[in-house]
Amino acid sequence: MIKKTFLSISMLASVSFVQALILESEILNYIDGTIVGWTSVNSIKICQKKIRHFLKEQRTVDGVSQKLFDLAIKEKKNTITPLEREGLVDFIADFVLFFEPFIITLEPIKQGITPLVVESCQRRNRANSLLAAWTKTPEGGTEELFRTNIKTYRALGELCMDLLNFTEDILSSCPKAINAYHDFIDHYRKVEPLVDALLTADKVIISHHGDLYYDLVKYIVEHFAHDEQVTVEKTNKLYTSYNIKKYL
Amino acid sequence: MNLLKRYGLVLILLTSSADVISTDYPNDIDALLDGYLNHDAKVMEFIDEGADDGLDFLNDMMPPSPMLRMVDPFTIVQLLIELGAVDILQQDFFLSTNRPARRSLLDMPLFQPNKAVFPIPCFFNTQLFFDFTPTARFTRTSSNINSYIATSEPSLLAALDEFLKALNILCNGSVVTLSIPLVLEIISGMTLVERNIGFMFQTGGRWDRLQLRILFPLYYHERNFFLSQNDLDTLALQFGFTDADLFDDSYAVADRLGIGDTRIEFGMHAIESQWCDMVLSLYATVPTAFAFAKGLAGNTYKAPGTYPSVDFNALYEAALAEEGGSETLAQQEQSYQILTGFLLDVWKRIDAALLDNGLGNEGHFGLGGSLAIDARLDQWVAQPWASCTYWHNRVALEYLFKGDDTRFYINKNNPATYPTTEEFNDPALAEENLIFLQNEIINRISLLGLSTKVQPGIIGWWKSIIAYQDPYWGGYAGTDLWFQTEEKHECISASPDLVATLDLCKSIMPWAFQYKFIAGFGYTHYTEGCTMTLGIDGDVTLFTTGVGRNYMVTLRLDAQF
Repeated sequence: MIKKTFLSISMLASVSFVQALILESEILNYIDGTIVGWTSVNSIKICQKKIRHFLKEQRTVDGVSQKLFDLAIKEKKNTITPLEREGLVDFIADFVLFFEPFIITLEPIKQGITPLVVESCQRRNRANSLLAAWTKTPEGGTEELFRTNIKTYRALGELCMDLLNFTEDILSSCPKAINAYHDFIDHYRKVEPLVDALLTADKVIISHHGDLYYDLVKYIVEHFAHDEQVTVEKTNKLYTSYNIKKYL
Repeated sequence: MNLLKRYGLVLILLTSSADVISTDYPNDIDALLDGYLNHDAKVMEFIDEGADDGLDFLNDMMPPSPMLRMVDPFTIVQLLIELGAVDILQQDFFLSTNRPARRSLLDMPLFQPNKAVFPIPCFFNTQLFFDFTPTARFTRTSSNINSYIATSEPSLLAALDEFLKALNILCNGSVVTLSIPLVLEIISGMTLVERNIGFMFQTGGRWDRLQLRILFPLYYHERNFFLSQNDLDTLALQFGFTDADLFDDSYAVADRLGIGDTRIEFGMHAIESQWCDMVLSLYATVPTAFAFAKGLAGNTYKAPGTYPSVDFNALYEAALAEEGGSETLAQQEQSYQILTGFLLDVWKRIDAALLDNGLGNEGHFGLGGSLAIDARLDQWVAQPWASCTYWHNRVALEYLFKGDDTRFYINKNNPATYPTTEEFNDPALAEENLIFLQNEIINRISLLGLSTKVQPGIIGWWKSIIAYQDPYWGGYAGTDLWFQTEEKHECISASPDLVATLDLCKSIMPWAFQYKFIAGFGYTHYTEGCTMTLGIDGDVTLFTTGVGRNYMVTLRLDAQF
């Protein structure tokens, strides 16, 4: 527990003021460093970044560019106009659209992470939150849950807050995964020239975006982290072996 | 415990809030909103995207959107090997590639005269006929398409099964729109049906001891694959046809209307006695077959002498994109079009071999001789009716001259020519190996239609009937035996290199045999200067090999002047 906390704080203290919880669920012993690895950490970080982007994004509502929290405050102060209230539909639609990839990713492991969600919500006095309700929603019902339960900007903001808190709790509770994430970054720094060389070589078939690029970088990091002698021949060979590995 | 850890522990004890629940924001949305309104630094930090750990390249990975520009040959080769494609390619898909044997209408027993000696001076005969073969033979011994295409070969099906399982794993269980096993299963129940309907015209006469007969048919010929409506609907859907009838007409029926070959027969009344007549004849089959119209209810098919071109790269790109979860609808559509286009091309080539028949003997000139004998029965039977009864026998042999025909060939399957495992695993040979495998995919299932010098087999038949004929009524019953020996191929109009790769044995039309029961009756009406006979004839096949069991019925109008 102490070790877990030490690791967690040392990893996260520099990037967040959030008082992350160290979750105690037994399941963490099984998933940390295994199911939840550096890729999961990366995904969670991206998820957080997207949520924050969503919160800061301005939309034209009732003829004025406004953020979600601007409207939530108007709602709280009861100064919101009917047109602004109607704009909630667009916000929810955007949120569902943005959240869709995460729903697809999380649905298969929902049962597995339910104890973690429940613990996080309970310990944060958010047991009645929409996030907690999501754990009881049958597969495929996530979008419907959001659409039917988010009736105010406040509720939408609350869901974003809960998601940020939960993801931060997960990160702080998986030190092995965080370690692996940082190891990956360190390794990546070493092979960055190799990746660049490979991407400019003749055999490159992928753009800088997408799964294949992600897999390729992962493969390079895992297998060539200590090789700093980059040649075109080596990159071609590397690419070939990557492809073989990928499809066999 | 080292010093660093000890300091760490102290730090934890001093700063850790792990078990302390914050009741302030961010657990409380109101507090969060208040902090936001007041530009509280901590709240602004909470919602600030900020910079992640400098790994900008990771930011765009969700949702994934790989963009493929070209495909590495070595990857594809390894992928095909892993999927078990080599095992499939080493199986024979075509067990035979011959054209189905077919009996010429001119040799049908119902169109042969029932008397050795023709009337004086001349006659004209018209027969409206309907000939139906419900299950034509694909090969000498079988009317089951499994004898022609290996739709039920356990080794092929097992290899295909393994291939699809591996493909399914690769595609994460996504549904493959085109189900090859289903297509094969439906095809395995397919039969070949032939119909001929039309008129056979005969004319001729006798002058002293010489006689002449000319006959030719005008008819509609149709060959089609038969499937139950349910199977047809499913098959059509597999190939992207929403209208099963359109698929049927386009890919499963070949038909044409026109005249067939013409037979000219010169006979000499060699023996004329109280008890029998014998006529020796020479006849020629002149290739006059000509279609006035083709594809009336179906289509016509030609098999090119070249292999089809398939855009494999587009298929690989789509497959890899699908595996990466980024296959676009346009890619799906394109790959489906390429795949079905290829398979429909394969299907059309099979149609050309099995369905698209001419109306005659494929342009072969024939020369034959026949012997016809009528023996009066009253020489053996002392009964009043025996004086009106005779035993008619007609025996003939015909030689068809060589000619150029289209014959169908498949590439010889030779597993010994495949690269070894080491060669397959050599990246330097990847491009060569990929071309080899792609060619094998095409070669295994694409028939080539090549002009070939064909020596058809010798045709022989023997008709034997007992006929009764009084001044008005007449009837007969008997048997018919027909055979044609196996054809021979000589020169194929293609480059020697190509010919060397072909499996020639599979393309040879087998020998064929048919034994029928025939019967008929008629009524004769006499007018001044003309004797008219109206009759009905029919036959059924009792035994057969090489050709199907056909049934024929004719309505005969015979005029003697």
